[in-house]
Amino acid sequence: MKRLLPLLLAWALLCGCGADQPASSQGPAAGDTQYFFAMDTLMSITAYDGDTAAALVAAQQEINRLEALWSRTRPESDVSRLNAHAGDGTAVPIQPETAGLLETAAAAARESGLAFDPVLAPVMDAWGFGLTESEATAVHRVPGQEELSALLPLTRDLPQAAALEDGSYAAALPLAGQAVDLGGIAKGASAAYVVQALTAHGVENAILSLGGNITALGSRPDGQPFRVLVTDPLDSEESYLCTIALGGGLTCSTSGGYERYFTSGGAAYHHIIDPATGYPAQSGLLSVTTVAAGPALADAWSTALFVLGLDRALELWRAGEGTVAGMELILVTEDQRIYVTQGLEEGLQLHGEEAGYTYEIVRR
Amino acid sequence: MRLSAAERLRPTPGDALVVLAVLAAAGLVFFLLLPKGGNFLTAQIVLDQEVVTELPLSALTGAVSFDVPGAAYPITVEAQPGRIRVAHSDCPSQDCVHTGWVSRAGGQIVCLPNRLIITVTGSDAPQADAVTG
Amino acid sequence: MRINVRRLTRCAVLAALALAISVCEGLVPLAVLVPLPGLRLGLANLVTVFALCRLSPGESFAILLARCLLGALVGGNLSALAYSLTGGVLAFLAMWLLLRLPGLSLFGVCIAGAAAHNTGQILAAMAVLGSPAPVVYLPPLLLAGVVTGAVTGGASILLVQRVPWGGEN
Repeated sequence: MKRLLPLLLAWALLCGCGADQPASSQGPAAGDTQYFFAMDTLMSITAYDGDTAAALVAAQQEINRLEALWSRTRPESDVSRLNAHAGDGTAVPIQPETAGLLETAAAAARESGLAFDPVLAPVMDAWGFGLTESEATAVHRVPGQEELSALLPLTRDLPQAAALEDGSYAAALPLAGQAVDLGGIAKGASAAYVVQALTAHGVENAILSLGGNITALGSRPDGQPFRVLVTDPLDSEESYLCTIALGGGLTCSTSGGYERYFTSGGAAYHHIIDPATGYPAQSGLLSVTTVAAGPALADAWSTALFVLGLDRALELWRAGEGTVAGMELILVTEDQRIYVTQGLEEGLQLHGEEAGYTYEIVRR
Repeated sequence: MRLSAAERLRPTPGDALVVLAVLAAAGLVFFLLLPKGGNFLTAQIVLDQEVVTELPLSALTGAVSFDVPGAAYPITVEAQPGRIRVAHSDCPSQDCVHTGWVSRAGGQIVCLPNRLIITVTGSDAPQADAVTG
Repeated sequence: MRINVRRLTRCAVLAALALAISVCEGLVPLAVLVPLPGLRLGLANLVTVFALCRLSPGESFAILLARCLLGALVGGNLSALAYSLTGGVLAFLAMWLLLRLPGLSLFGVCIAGAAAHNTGQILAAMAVLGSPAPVVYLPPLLLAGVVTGAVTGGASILLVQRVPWGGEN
């Protein structure tokens, strides 16, 4: 027994020591979280009040419903049927949600000078970046200039959607070979519907992460705005550039070449294709984060501004017209400069200085 | 050569000093680790919304390697004290394998074809409610 | 220097004994009881202490090296060699030094040895993993070292007092 005593003593000591581990008291506040895969990405929804269980189920059902409308790979989806009838003159009946999304996409496309292009699919497919739900099996390759030159004319004319007399909607693609791909806007657009589903179940405070598009509903349980980490595009797994405060009703969305790319012949080709050239955008930006009231617009504009580059992005922000009105930006350049527009200054915390980033607040 | 220590039968005040020195060293290292919040890392493995397991990475005693049960594409997760990775996966994209080791709080490994998420949490991650990008 | 068969045999017997002890110890891992990597009673250290008290430092060191190398061979684990060698050598140095200080008993010497051994293990683990993460285990291991060191200290006093040892040569 005497020999066991030191052992027991050691055990007691160590257990006591283990209990001293400081509890993580600063983590995210408690809420009910649902993780799920949809639209070929990871989504999570955390609800803090209301009938959270029913709300989360309803939210996920809503996403599934929208995916069934907007998927390019499901043959019965609005988008697939629209693409199947490209150029044959048929007006394809579509759901009001799809009509609304096509309209929003068209607005962002027009105002960005087609830097955001909902009919870029033929070119994306040529690179193997298309058909998102088969991304896992996609074969990436560098298409030839001739091939791209033949495809680019198909990426200019937007689908024409119209409300019919009976209140339903229909749409058509003007040219054969055209295809709509709403992958660059659908995740953001879904957030608005998820928020409706949550609100219907009494949820007043929640945070959604739909594939990197973060939407805040209300605030944290402590009354503070939600805090969102912006990923470091140079070390996207483990490092962060900054934390921003995301007010209720706002969505932030980030686009960067680091998210998806392949290498061929020693060169890296990322998935954000510049619709003007058909090649991956070389705008000098590493990533663009947008914060906007419209989740679909935040999603679409983060892509568009990445293509347009720093100067044009800040120009559009300063003008603040059309769908860019009220939007705030974080622009990260290849020389590790981070431009944060003034509306995000409050609540901004910087994390990237050690990694060599310099920060600048941009004012109007 | 005579070593006095070898002849003593009872602990001496000098021994107490040694004990104090060791305890002080332990306390010092513990204290130095504290400001980082303990760095106690936990990895949560979620397959298709189901939590498969939670691994206290910081408390592992050695390398752990296992196949995730129920994965569509056979996938092998390897954990060592303080870090975790996907060692092998039969999935087409291999993104999860390319992610490599994740050893910091906030790190995440995702295998989309398998609907598998490995999240490393700990007390040294910047506090936030969500991540964009 | 003439090779002394008697001395050589002593060293060989002690090395074999140390190896046997460390293998036996490995069969009953304390880590099952307390989830702490690298935690062991350190009974093999007993042999090092005994050798330091009764043999020359060179012989003692040779015994330690033989134990670690043979242990890795028996266990078939090369990375274990890094741990046991780093820990063993640090413990050896600490005990060799403290034995020469006045006012200590083998309790203090063994506690310091255990602490040094644990520190060495953590250093080796940091090198092997290429990460500072294992240092988290150092404080609890040091605390455990005080206890296990006291146990081996008591045992070594009994050993050194009671094991008959013929005169030199």
